[in-house]
Amino acid sequence: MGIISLEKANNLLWLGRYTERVYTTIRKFFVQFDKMIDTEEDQYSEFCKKLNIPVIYTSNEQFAHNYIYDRDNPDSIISNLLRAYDNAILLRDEIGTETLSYLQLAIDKMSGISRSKAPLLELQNVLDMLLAFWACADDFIIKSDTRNIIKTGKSMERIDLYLRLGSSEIAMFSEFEKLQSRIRLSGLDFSNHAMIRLSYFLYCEEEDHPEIEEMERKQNMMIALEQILDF
Amino acid sequence: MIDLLDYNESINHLLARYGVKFGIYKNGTFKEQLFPFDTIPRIITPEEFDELNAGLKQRVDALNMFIGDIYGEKKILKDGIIPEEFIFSSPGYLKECEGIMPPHGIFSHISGIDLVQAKDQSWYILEDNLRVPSGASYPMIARSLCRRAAPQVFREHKIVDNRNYAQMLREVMDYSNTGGINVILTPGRYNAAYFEHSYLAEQTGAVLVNNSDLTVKGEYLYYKDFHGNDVKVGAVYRRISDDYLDPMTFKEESLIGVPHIMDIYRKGNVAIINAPGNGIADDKGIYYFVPKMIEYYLHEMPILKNAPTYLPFYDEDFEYVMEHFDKLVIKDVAEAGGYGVIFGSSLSPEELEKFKETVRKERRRFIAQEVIDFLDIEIEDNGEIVPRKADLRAFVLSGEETKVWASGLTRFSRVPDSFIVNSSQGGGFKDTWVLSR
Amino acid sequence: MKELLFRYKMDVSFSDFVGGHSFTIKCIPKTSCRQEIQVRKTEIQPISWISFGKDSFENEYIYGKSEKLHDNFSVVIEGEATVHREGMIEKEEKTFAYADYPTSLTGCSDEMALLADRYRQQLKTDPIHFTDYIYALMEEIYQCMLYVPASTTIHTTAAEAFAQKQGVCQDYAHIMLAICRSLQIPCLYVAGYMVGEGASHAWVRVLDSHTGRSYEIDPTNHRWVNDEYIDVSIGKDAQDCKMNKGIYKGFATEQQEVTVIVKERNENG
Repeated sequence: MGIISLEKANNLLWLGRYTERVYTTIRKFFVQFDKMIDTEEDQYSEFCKKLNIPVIYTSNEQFAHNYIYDRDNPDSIISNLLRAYDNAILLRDEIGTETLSYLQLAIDKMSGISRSKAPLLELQNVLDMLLAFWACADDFIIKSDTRNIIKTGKSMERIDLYLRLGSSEIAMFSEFEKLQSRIRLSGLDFSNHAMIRLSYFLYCEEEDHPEIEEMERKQNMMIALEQILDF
Repeated sequence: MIDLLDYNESINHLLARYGVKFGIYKNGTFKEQLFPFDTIPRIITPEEFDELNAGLKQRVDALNMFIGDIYGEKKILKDGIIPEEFIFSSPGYLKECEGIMPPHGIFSHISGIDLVQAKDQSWYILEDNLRVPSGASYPMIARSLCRRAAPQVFREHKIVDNRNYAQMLREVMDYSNTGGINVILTPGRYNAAYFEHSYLAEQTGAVLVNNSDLTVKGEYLYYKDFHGNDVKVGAVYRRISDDYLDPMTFKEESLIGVPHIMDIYRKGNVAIINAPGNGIADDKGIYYFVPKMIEYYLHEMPILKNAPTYLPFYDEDFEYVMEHFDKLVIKDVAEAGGYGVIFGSSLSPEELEKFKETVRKERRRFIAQEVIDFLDIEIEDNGEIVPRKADLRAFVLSGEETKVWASGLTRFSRVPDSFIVNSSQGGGFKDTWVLSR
Repeated sequence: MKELLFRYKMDVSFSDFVGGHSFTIKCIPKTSCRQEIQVRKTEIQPISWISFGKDSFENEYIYGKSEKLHDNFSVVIEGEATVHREGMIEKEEKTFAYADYPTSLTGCSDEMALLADRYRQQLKTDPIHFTDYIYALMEEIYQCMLYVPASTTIHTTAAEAFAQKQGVCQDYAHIMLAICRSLQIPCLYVAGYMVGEGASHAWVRVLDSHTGRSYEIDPTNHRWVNDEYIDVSIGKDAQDCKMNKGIYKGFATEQQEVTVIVKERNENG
């Protein structure tokens, strides 16, 4: 484990972002899938709109399959997992073979189950692998900056997804606190201005600023989030 | 019978889990494949290893002295041991390396020496690989995984641990290092041996880098960290070939090289592992002369044998080759990786005549060897144990001392009777056990 | 003996901005037994850093990098040379070591081999007249070639240039080297400047193994090299003597202009 170049720092950040994207979207997909079991078609449109991905699906069933497993769909869960792997494979010397193996296992789990009638059971295995991956990263990566760059990516992605898909305020505040400490420990150069903007919109109470629409508030936060780091 | 066959499934499961792969280009697209692993190990007895150990050290020491001599005083040419022509008309000779003496005079830090065992149990050297030999990472990781899957096998048999390769490699890098960090320079993820590059970086603690992470400034080479600070580099274990190493000295169109690295290397301000220009010593034509080098530089008799080789360059050998063409294996000296190897017996009469004509015209381009009666080794193929051809790539590391790694990469052909064991052509690998006393 | 003033100027203009520009410049003559050199001015622009090196032929060169975006790169070298050309008695076998093996640019075609064959016997039986045969060989090359600017590139081999019977000084030199090498005469490529105004020039240095003397001959101009020639670098072929090399980031086309001026000092006062 050595000194990190800018390129590797970028890979670490995106490794954090993509693993988090897969993890949280699978968890949100659980809720979505549950709804689709006994409701009418087209349940998924809302979900796609929130995630800002094109609604290219034809039925609940087709959505459930394609959104999880289709490697040709750039927004599918498997595509995001492969992107996480593409970053991780460049980082073996930083994160270690052991840590890397859990992403390989997550991909293997996904690849083995493409026609399951009960995908949630298998997706649970994928979640397990991702949780093991994070635990392993926490445990094996000795250098604090390396570890915290991944976690910075993870927090940024989680905040973004929470903004899109909705979450409790407490969960949001807690993630923002994590982001603040992680980004400091990562040693990355970040925009303090963007951080302040993000916190301003995050903590502003509706009654203090009735003129700010909820949508606008979210938009502003998402913009600020992307401006924190400038690679 | 010692075997791990019962653990086949769990071992292969572990290999897949750890992504033990090599890359291959098929129809222009890059694919990663699992490197097929056969659980039946190749076993080398302590007595056999003693001989290999002494013979390989001797060979690599002589080869290192030879490369130093060629780019320096050229005594071996002046004394008429090797005809000049074999040096100066070889594509492996790089005039750009003339006069360069690398740190501690070591040119080949990591040598991959390919051997085969004949039916009479004796070992023959097939080929020396002194440029960028690859493959050590596979038996390294396979051993850890086999031990995990089948601990009792390793309890019952006393086998020399081969997991010290990374430590040996690190010592070699540290010894040649001119001051600064160690890096492993990879051409990138889409290289056949990327798994190995990244695994060795992890295991040795060297930094895995692309060329864009490195830059020469004035007298030294630097690696840039993400704060923009320059960190001095003292040793580059490069996994790219000489041609692409420095676009200012070699191929100008190289996009994976480090401009000006040769300028500072010439000044002794960075170690390049292995040294550029080593191709002169692993040329298939030079192979013929290695036993002579051992006598010339070390005043010793060679311990390990070459396969009986003929150089059509010499009239006497030429006559012999022409007469016994159908019994020999003919190798094009410029090719590698199992390409350009032709068995006389496999040719039709017309092809034979045509090929003879080519050899007649370009006598320097080919060598001919007797076909060695390989000792087949057993592999498992769909539940059956079958005999297959295999070779052994031994790794010799040259630092403060020359050391032979007590293991190696055993590659086998999966096709019956085929001699081509290269992974790029579908071969698999085995662990190599050196038994301890 | 002549006192000469020289000035080498190279201007590269790029069609668009480029950066991360690595360069190696090998156009500075150095003092040897043939010439004494005093460099008066070395100007390279723009630069982030430069350093000095010596290649395997002991040619000195400048290497460096220009990181910032630029659309122009220029080099100016000025100096004085005192050129001796008498005698040529030098012990320089080391320089010529193994210079009788063809390089990728200096191989013989069948046609060239036939030409060489006509000298083989004479050189062996009558080594005393080595220089006469070299001159005659040079003359033959000169006669069958036509000097046509831009008719070849830097990658053209001796055999290709000889087949088309056209070329520039580099090709004349390569052809001469190829034929000499097939006759086992150690020889080198010389890049340098000659009196007048124009581009840089190239010629050939051959070694008479019987006497240990070396000679320089200019097949492009059909004559022995005299004190109007300044050596810049030597090598096995033009590749070793490239006066400038550069690689950079950016999608630009480049236009290079080189002017070399060499004149006698007294002309100048």
